Amino acid sequence: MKRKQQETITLLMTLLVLILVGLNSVYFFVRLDLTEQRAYTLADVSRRLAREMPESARITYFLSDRLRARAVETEQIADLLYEYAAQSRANIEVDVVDPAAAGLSAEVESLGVAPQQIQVIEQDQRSLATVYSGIVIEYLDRYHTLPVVIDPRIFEYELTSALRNLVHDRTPQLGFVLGRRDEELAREYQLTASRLSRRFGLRTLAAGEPVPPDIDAVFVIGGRDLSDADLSVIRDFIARGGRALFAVDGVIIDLETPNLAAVAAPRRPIDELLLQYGVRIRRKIVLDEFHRSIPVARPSGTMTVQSLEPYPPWVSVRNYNDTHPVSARFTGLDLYWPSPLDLDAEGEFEVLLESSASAWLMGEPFVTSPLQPAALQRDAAQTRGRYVLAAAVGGTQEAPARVVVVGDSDFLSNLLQYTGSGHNVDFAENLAAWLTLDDELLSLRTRAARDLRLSRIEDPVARRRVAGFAQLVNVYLIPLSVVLFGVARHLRRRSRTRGGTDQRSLTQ
Amino acid sequence: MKPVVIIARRELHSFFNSAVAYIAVTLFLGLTAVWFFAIYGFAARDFASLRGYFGLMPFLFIVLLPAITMRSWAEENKSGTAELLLTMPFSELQLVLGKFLGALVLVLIMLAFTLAVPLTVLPLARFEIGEIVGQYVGTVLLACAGLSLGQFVSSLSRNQISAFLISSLLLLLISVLHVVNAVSALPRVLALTVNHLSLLTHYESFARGLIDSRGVVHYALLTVAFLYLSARVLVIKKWS
Repeated sequence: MKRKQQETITLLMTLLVLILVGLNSVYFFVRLDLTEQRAYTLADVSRRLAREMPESARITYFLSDRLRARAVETEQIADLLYEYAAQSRANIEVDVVDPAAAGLSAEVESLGVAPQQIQVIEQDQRSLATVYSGIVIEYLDRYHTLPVVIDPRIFEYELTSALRNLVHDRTPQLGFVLGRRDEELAREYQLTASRLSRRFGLRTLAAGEPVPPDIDAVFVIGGRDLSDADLSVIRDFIARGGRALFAVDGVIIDLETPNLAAVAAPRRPIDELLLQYGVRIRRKIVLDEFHRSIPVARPSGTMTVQSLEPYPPWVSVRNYNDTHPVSARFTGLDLYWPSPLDLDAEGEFEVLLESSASAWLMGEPFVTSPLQPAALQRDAAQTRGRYVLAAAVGGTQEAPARVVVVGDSDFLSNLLQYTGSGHNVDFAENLAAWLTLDDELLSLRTRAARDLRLSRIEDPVARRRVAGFAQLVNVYLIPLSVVLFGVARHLRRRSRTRGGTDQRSLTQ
Repeated sequence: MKPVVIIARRELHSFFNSAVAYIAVTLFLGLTAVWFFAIYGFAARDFASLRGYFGLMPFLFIVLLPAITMRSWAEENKSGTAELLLTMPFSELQLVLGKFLGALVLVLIMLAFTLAVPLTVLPLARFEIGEIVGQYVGTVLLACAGLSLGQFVSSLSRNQISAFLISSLLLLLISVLHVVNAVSALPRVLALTVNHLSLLTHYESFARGLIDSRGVVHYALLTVAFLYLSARVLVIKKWS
């Protein structure tokens, strides 16, 4: 009896110790971040900002308990927030509050935190629940709201840049000069404008309007209707040390025509301006083996059948400069009917993007209809090669220019929604951060990003071969070799046992 | 330590002298590879990550680990060799650790074969090596927890099949415990506790290349607790 009691006490004590260790581990923990760019660890720029803020800040994470229990990412965001607080030496105070439980839903929404709907099943009933995962940062008498935070990989960039804007009381400003007079930023560049406006102040500049002094960088998109006088203000802005992106086509596509009729762009003042920086936009279209598909409507009897057709003029860029801050951690980019760039042999450039080596060019007469796939290959044999699609123009050491030229004016337009090319906006955000000279934040932004495509082998045939080999080895060869080894071992053991039995019978 | 190694070797030999090890290894490797390359469509997805591959492992483990551990004590109990083992000059803890180590080595051999997957797909893209390391660390720790649970259930049972079924059921429950939160609104503390206890919640961190001490401690505690309980069961059996 006494032994049984002792056993029970030992068992209970041991389990109690294990439970206490478990509880302790929840409150005192460390994390080892094995990712190459330390994507889940606070970067130096964030730590420094947290420590060196002149006044203290209060960060409130409005997180619904319902969402917290369902989305593990929200826990990681909360962990990162506590790490900010820990690194800030009491400069940052962090609170995690459930708006519904605290009765603050209306106030939270009035601060800009966006309500989200999720489907829940409770008491056998399927219903929609309103949840929140947004952050309000208060600093002095100012505040900034991150309406929705859900991705821990980009959270640090979002929070640090917002905190920095609050501390410095300034948001970097981007001016947009749209090449066509009938275009509107919020209408023709919906996704781009909405994403860039989270981090930058956006302003559309009328053609010829002098660039205001508080504008940090200018995005010139298209440029078809811009006169020499309109462009002179941009030229002056760059001469004063301003930075600019030029997204310009050499070939104009008429999206209103059913066959997407294309013509070479006439010589325009913007071409002259770019020539001054040593860049010539050729009147050709680059087509590539790596491309996106285009939705095509074909009449079939009385009906119209929609299908997705491979379309080489919509180039999926895979060759990028991994040493330049803009493209170092490239996530992808799709260009629509891009034109190749010729770079002045005497100028200083950094090529940012190139086509694959299996790209080709199309010159006049242009055939761009997706219904004529054979015609798209017309000049492939003669023009096969690699072409420059985007470049950064270097300046002098005294006056480092920051001008980027991309041979396509559509890559930021609503076309990107047709191809699901959200990475185009990532690239635009990288460009904007670099052009506004925010190298530290750019490194923060790009460290979590990486090219997630299987893009190391350029040749599609070789790529398929390697993927096929991997499948062959892992699906067939390895399991088969285990079976063969097992059978061989079994046979060997059986023959040994038989041998033993025979020997025994001989000795008998 | 030597007795533990002796028992582990005996256990490993018994695995490889029967068809169990070969069937388990072949099925494991075949299913994970077919899933990743044919069903999940790794090449067609054009996505440089092995998360799809490792995402299946916890679910396969629900069946695989109990299949490995089901006979560890149930068979000995049934055939009466357990009593013989208990009279040998090994402590109960050494016996339990030896059997656990034998099963763990079998799982490590399986995982060693899976290294062919990252090695053969590496030329295709710039994979995050840290993420792959995290995935292997998480998988090994998850296997430790599952094996120790399986061994505990086996120590209580005289029937392999019931040991397998009960272990699978328990492993399924603690793997996907967090799903409770998706179908009911628990109070906050309870919801967080449920999330913490779920094996898959922690596995998620490892799969991203983040070694979180909370996950490591949780898996380690489960392993230690079930191994300890297995040893206590043997002690009780010895004295009863």
